[in-house]
Amino acid sequence: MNLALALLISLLVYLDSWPVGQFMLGRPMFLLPLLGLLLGMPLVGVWLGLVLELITLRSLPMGSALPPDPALAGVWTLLGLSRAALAADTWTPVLLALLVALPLCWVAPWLTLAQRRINGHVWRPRFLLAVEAGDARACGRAMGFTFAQTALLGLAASAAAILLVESAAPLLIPLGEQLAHGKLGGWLPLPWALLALSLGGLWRHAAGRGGNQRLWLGLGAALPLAWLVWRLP
Amino acid sequence: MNAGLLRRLFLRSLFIQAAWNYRGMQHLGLLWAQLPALPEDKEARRAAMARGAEFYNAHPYLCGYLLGAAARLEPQGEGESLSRLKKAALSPLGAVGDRLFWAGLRPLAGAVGVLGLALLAASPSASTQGLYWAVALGALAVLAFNIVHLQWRWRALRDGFDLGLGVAQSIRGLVNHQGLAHTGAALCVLAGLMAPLLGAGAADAGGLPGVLMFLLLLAAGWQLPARRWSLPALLGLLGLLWLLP
Repeated sequence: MNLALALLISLLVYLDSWPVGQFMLGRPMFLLPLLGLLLGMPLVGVWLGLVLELITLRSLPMGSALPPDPALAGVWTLLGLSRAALAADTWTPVLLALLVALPLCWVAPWLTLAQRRINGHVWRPRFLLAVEAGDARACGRAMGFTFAQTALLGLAASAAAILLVESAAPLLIPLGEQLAHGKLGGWLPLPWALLALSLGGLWRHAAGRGGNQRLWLGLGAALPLAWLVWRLP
Repeated sequence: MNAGLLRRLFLRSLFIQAAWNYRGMQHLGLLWAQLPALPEDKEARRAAMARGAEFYNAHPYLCGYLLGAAARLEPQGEGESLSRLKKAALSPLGAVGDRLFWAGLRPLAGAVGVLGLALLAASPSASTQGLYWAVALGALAVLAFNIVHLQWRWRALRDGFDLGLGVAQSIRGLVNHQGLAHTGAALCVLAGLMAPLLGAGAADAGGLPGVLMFLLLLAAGWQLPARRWSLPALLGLLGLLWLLP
């Protein structure tokens, strides 16, 4: 994929994640399968979307908290891997994508942290000068500069991340192959293990103060479906 | 006149977090959003801007209540009352918004999308058409989430503008909102529906040991404390287990 287009997509996802609107356009369960489909990597898109969404579904951006960012991590990974032109529809790129995207989920919020610090140290004083002067236009200009600088930093970070993933992917292929086909496969393939862990956490989060009553509510939904799945050929 | 002003305030309220910082948090976003509604008089405007730049941090989707109230009260010279309202409303707006949107509707929309993908991943004969359906379900979940929060944002702004100081009653009504009670239960049902689908996929991938491992990890996930370090720590442990011969 063209780097300019990849950067534009990353920028939209970043701006949507906190500075503008928060329309959840970058939710992995929706955007990553769609991007995977468009980039010719449907299996990678589905698995990345499924695992990243489920693993971070109970991470909440409450107050000033910076939870893991699956949207940027997933988009950077998928775009970087598509530029590396790996063989698309096998387990190797799926595992490779998960290996890359999971740590990125915890790294991506540093971009937000850096921007918020810049806002406090660089742009807030400009706003306060405008407030002191009672100058609404200067306040508007300060917002324009803040927004433009936020977008520029987002673009620069996205370019660095995408190019890094693209250049690291060929080096990580042996590990991905080992996980997919070698002795590291274990009893249960890694993506399923991640899904099981995340689902348990989500269930606990959803049960909340409802405790056992809600556990049984979930089991009430699970057991008939499990019976149906077991009975199906 | 009012409709045009409300539209401008609404569009600006979407940028409430654009200048978020650790000193005043969303205060600069709120200040910028209320600029079109400030009084004409220079001294009154300066005082209103100073009040607008006071500390502010609440749920971004619910800022409309105070933004609308500011647009009503500042031109009437009731800025001091607005300032008191703002201080009193910060905690309820933050707490209710977080519970309703971040802990309720957002995971619910995400879980609906995940359910579609889980169905696809668990099916050995999944086709491209199945993927289209899963993407469409995800898009529908995102669309439904956006309809709810955008409609709520608009209604909050109008309530604030129409009621002025009386918006405190609307904010009090939010605390007992029925939606808070139902989202957790709905999420539990969705998690319950996902479990057999993903379990079937694990059975395909790893046979009986795969299913047992899946159930064990499901229980481990249930017990995992909701802390920032807990998931990376468990993933690291899982990685080490995988590396054992």
